[in-house]
Amino acid sequence: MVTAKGDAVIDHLVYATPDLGIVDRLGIAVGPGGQHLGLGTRNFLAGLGGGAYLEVIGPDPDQPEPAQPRPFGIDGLTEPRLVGWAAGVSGIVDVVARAQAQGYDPGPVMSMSRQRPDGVLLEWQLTPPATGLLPFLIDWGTSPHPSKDAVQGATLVSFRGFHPSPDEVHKGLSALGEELAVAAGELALEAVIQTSGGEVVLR
Amino acid sequence: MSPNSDTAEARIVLPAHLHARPAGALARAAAGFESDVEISHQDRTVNPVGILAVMSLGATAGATVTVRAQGADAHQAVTELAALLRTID
Repeated sequence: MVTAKGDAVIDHLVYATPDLGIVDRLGIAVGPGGQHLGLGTRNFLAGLGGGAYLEVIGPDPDQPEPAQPRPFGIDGLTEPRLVGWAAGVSGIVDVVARAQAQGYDPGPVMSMSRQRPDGVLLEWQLTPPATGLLPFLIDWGTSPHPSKDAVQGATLVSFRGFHPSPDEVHKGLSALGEELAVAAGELALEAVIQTSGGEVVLR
Repeated sequence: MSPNSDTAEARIVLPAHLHARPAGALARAAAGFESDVEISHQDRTVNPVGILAVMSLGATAGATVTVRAQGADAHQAVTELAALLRTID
């Protein structure tokens, strides 16, 4: 599994965009993920090696405008942005309980299921998807991980964050049992991804 | 309902009583989804689209309620209804 630093296991990075047309000029080979019915979004995925993947998510032109704002602040974006990340965990209920005991509440654990067209039943649990340097948690249990079916070829070289007060971020990360390199600066995430055409930096 | 549709479930500890105002907000939100949605507390399960039905649960601050959904937008429904229930006052 890919680690950000220390024991943090990166499940996936979320790259949100106001226009999914960018997938053709991203410099990273991606494949179609799926539609998020009702959310007004769809995604494209790329494996990043080590059991992690990149999710590129944006408005789905084949869906009507959703009743609620699209997730990850997509409606307010004027350009693509690396908006968040998910940390892969096992025993998510226990991880959340430990975080709450240390003063950080990542939110309720939600259990999801979906049957793929090939009949495979996917079941996973997660905390509410969030943006920012603190990850949301996801536990795939025994379900096949999306990275296995994603387009391969890219490799995550580094992943770090920037925040005006890095210590504040580290408190939350510590409660989650995660680590991420965080430097002082304007709020941002940065991933360096190696492809056959060279390095691609997403921020 | 299609047996192949998405399902989602979340348990939420209520920060406040599930009285008329939050029940109304929950009902309005729940009505916006095409999935079948239900909310349970102890041994009672109701359709959250009905304000009185939600209030009849008698769920008070600190109680745990469970939201379930099945349908095409089940994941969104549970994500949003859980977020709403976490922040009632």
